[in-house]
Amino acid sequence: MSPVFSNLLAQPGVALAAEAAVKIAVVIVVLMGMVAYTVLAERRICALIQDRLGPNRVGAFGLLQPIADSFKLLLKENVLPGHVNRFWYVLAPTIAMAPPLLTLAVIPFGNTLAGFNLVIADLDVGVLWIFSIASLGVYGIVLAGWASNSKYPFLGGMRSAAQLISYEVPMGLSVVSVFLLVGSLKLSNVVAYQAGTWLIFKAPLAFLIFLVSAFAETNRLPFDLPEAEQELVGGYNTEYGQMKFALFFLAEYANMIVASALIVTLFFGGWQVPFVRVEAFGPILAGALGVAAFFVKLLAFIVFFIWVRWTLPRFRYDQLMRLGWRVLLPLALLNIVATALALALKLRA
Amino acid sequence: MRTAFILITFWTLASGLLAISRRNMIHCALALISFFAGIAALLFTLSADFLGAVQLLIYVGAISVLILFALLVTHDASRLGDRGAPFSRGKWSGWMLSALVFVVLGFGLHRVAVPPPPDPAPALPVAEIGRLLVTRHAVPFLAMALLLTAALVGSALVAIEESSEHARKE
Repeated sequence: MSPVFSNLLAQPGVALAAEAAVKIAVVIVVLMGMVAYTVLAERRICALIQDRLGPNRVGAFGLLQPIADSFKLLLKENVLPGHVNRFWYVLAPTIAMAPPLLTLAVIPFGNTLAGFNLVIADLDVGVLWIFSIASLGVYGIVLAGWASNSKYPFLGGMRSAAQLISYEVPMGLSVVSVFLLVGSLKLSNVVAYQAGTWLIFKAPLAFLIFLVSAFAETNRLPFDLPEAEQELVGGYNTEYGQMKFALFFLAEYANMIVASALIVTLFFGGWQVPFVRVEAFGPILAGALGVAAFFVKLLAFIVFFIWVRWTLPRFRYDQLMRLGWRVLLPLALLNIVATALALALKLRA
Repeated sequence: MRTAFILITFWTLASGLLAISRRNMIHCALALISFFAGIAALLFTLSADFLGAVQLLIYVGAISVLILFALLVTHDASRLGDRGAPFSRGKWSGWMLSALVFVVLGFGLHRVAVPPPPDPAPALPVAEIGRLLVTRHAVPFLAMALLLTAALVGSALVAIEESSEHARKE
């Protein structure tokens, strides 16, 4: 390393910024790679479930398929339909892509490795940050629907607005019981709290509500009404092509990965390795094992998301709304009251 | 931080101006969203993380979606504005009143000696905000809760009456 460079790094602000930049680069590269291979996994698993083979020609087991796909989408001619509202039409896919990238910043994907905390920004209000950013995801879809100036995308956009608003409420309420237990909104504290018992065993109802809402928030079957191929052609992305379509596609899968990461962090101990005292292996190996544990759990949930999509049929719209407002919302409120009562009784005892 | 603050301030002001001056209602709503986001960004630069996140969650993520939703389901809302002028006939009295309010507020603020904030400003921990809400500010907190509950019950009531009227007509 040249002396100029190491002198520059010695300044506290610069070192901090460099550390953050490296983490951001690594996380984005890993996320994008995961998105590409989640798409491949989806196609292969769906084929398995439907007794087909799926894409298996490009590379061994079709492993190069995502690369071929992305090159195809990148090299396509950029077409703007004549009837769209140009500015918002082009902006919508980027707005859809931003929230999953922003939420990822606060999710701890490991404890520490070589003295670095394995989280980009460990905010005091981490969970609040996640919910506030996740609530912006709806704009990409609504804007796409409106700016396309076409009826099926419009219907898809409207459905999405109603659905996301409805399911954000039980989702937010379900994690309140988690924070009553942990006593902090910081995600690293939530993970540290789960060193002994994972939160799914202490707050199973919250987990269930969160899981169902997560499916609705990511527009995945059985709640994929904003897209609903059979009724809406393709929903909000009907008028989109090339890389703009690919961005919506990426956003959907990135959302799914972030939702899985959030479920793992909140209810399944994050980077905690169960049954093994990893500290005994020394700091480097313990850190690496933590990261590995996080990714194993994450992959399990991604497969679960895919499995559900190819197993369950779609809800009808009124069923979707009824489930959200008449079942999940009261359950979530009940869960908060029950948790608060239990904690109060425990404090008194 | 100061540069960011100034840039965001201009962004917020420009969005606010757009929100009241565009003829297309949807564009107004989108500018309003950008205005709310600007306020949230200002709160973040002032190291009020909690308030910033809440601002994003409630104003940008929820209220604005409802505004946009209402505009989109309202028939032809986006074209209604094309014919009407964005400013009403009483605009001069409006400008003068707002200028007067600005002068009075500015004068008042100028007279008050504000102690310089400690550097860096201490961030209020979330737990402390929660504690204040249920102790010192318990009464306004409960009053807000009551108000929101009343609004919720009221809107449910309106919705129920409308749907039963529909049923009778059919």
